[in-house]
Amino acid sequence: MFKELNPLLHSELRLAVMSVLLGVESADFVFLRQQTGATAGNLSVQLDKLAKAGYIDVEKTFRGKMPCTLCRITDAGRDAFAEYIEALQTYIKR
Amino acid sequence: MEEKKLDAQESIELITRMIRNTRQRLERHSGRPFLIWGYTTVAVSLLNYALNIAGADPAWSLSWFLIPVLGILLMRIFPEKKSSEPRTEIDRIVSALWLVCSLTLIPIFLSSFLHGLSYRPSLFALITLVMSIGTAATGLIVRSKVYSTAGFFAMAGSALFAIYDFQLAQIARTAPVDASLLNNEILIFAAIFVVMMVIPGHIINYRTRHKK
Repeated sequence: MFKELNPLLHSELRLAVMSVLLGVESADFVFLRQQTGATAGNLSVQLDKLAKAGYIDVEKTFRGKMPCTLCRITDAGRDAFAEYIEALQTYIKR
Repeated sequence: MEEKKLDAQESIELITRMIRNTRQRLERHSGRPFLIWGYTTVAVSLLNYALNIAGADPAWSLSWFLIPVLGILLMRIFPEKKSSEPRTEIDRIVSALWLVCSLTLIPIFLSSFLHGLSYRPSLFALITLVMSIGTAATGLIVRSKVYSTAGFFAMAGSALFAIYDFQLAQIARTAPVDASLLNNEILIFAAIFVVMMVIPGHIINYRTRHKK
């Protein structure tokens, strides 16, 4: 029986962002852009969706005099990611 | 990268690729603290060696405490370059490891106050051992052969103090020992820090520069 895949995570860019954030304490917007190759606008929209779902925390701060957007995965985000992987396994096993 | 729907296989590949990319930076940019602490320790050791040879007042041995003072100061003067690279779990583990090593050095430094010169070989050996454990463990964690090899060499090197002390004790059984021979321990100490921190620090910095 297939488990339903979380539609919020089952999109290329959001899944990439969550995968990156899983391995780091926090990552800034520039780093996420470099890693995903996304445009600033698209990344911004997707980060907003993940933040609204409570999967990531977004903190607007400064690095020196430069503005900096820091993102970190939340416990809810980790749980959702684990569930997503679990659901994904039901598709792979078939 | 767009808002594209993926099949299961593509999802797994994407997750694997992203996690692998994030972990690629393991040993990069880690040369700076090794160079600062390595050079500081070697410089203060040579200063003490010179003072002892010149027959300076024993109170000058308090200059050993310049190591933590200068080290912390230099770390602040030459901070890590601001970068968009995030702090990974591995960075956190390495920081925690060095915090433990640094805290371990505090009672060792304090015991040098109480014991004075008579226990000097064991103090040198203890400091070397703690730092070599930190270096070797850092190497294993960040998968750097340079650091792990240097750490294990230094660990073996810490036995040199006991061997040298034993040799001096053997000589002392048959003839009076020249007290200046004790100063050679300082040179052993400095040489171990060159092998353990200075050389690996330069190698890692060289590699980091040429990877860009």
